[in-house]
Amino acid sequence: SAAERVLPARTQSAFKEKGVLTPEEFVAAGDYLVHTCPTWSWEAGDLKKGRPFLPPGKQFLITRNVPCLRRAAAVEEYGEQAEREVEEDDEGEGWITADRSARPGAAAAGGITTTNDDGFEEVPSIEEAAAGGSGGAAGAVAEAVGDAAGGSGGGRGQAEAEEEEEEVPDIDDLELEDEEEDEAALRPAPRAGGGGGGGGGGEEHIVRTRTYDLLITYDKYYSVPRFWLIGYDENRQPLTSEQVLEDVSEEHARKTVTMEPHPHGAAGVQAASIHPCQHANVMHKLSERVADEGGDFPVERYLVLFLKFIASVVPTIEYDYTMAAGTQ
Amino acid sequence: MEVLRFWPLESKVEAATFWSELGELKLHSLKLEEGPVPLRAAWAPSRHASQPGLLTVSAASLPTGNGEGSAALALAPGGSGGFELAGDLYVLNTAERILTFDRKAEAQQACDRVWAAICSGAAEADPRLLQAAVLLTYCDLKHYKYRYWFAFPALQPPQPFTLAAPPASLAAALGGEAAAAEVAAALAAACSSYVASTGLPAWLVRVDGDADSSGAGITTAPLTAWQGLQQQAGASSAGPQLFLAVADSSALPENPGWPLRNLLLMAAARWRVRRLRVLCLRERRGRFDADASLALDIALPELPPGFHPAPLGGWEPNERGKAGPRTADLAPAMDPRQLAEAAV
Repeated sequence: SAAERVLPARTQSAFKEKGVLTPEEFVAAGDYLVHTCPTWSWEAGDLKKGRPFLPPGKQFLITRNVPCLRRAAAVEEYGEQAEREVEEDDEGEGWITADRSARPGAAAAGGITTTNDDGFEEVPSIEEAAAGGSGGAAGAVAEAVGDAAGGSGGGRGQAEAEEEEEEVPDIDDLELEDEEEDEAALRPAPRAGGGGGGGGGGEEHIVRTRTYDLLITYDKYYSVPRFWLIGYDENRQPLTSEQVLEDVSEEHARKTVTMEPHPHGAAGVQAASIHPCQHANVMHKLSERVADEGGDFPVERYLVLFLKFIASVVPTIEYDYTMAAGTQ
Repeated sequence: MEVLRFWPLESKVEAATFWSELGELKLHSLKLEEGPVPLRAAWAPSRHASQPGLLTVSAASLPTGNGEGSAALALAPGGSGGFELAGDLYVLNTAERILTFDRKAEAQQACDRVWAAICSGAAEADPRLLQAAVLLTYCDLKHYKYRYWFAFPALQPPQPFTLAAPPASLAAALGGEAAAAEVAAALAAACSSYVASTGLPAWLVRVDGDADSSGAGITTAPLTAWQGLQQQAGASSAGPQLFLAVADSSALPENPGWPLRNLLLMAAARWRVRRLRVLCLRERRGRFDADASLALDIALPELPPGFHPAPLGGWEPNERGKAGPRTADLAPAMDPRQLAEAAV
């Protein structure tokens, strides 16, 4: 953001008082996370987009190809549970309350994704999402064809894309039949082109799921870590922002989770991000609670605790957040 | 005997970074040139139950713009990003060229390179040279649509590799007694450290002493140590057990992943073994996990004198399981028109 470019990075540690991190503390917490959860690693990203206040090889943390087996709608109960848990201690002022006016930052930064509850109801039901497991490819192709034929494009739902299936996808002329003879290869079973069939096609033990690349960057303006979700469908094609929001707890879709320019992607590429305006507040409360239970809470554990908090926003993604965040 | 079958590598393109960089490369540097351009890809072991490890390319896979594209590729030490491999990238000028491209000749070339690395011993020192990749692409820059087709060439043995015994768990391969689970866990931990320090996807494991007692010693060694370890192991019947260990991209309970194929041919060609015990290690929570891993007892064919393996393209099927390129439609993410509409 513009503010990020002109403001200096935080130099004074205020982790205990405010739940914020300096860049140095972010790197220390990242090192601890990489050490304890080796699924996470540091990356340099695009050198041209490097932030001078972070070491060149430690621009962001990433874990790749994390499976996401269910859509958020199917785990709402879980989400509600987590919600109560977080809210218990914090006297009605928790980050989770749906009081939008309490979050001007989110509304402002929401920008392109103005909250639209009616629009949100158009998110496909679980059944449709499951059918998308095998229909997704055909749907995407049909949509692509529609666009090429001069369609209006943009933001069309899965259902509409599926209706266009009768149109012959133009990709057929780019297919061959000359499969190589290779008895030593297990072939992924051909996936039904139509909308029928369940989500889990393929070989008997291969469950086709969405996967996510998860990124943690440092947000200089809020002095906190920032969480990003880059989604891929069952065929490892990028998910649209609509599809990503299906995997976010409904409470947070389009409110705390917004679409922003990808921190290391090409110009114009958008990615889902959890808006960091309430992170410091929540982290301050969570770390105080951990400290109450077990004495000191070292700043190195910040990101481990941060991921536990993220898990309630994105309940569907099965990344490794189960390790103890406390001092034990 | 049952033919050993491999789960093919599956590709993933990091769409947010790769395609626009590729477009830049085509526009400003390659122009009408189609390649090959050196491609730096990385494949990972399976890290989640029922999730195979993927071969990933991102913007970092492409040569930096201002260098000459044909510069030899130095493989970086593997991090948790996986095991790097050097591939060939073609950026074709029309979509139809993907189909008319001489895929047989390309597979032959890639396989010849791997075979040369096997014969010279280079692949023993750096087993990453055993896995090749080819990527054909066509960029429809106007419509933000990208067609692409991956191949993971494999060398064919004269007769297929077969299973000499049914696939087993690591603990069963180590003796199957109660203490074997502990030894298996220690073995997985030793393998994690080996990969963390070398970044190589294949190595040797020697298990000394009685696996049923807690006194079993586990040693990891590079592939180049095969002859020496083999002689020690062969000296006495109660001697140490020797295994070939690999990071495994497959998540299936009975089948290993694609990268083992060329490695087995190397074992047949260089070590002249007819029987080999292989440990296929898979990760859970970022470290090799004994329970998720697989032990295979494999029978290898004898290679006749002057043998030269037939190449196999290993072209990745598209979303519908057919032979043909995949399509990445980046218009919703990159087309200014669509972005403007979505922002209303």
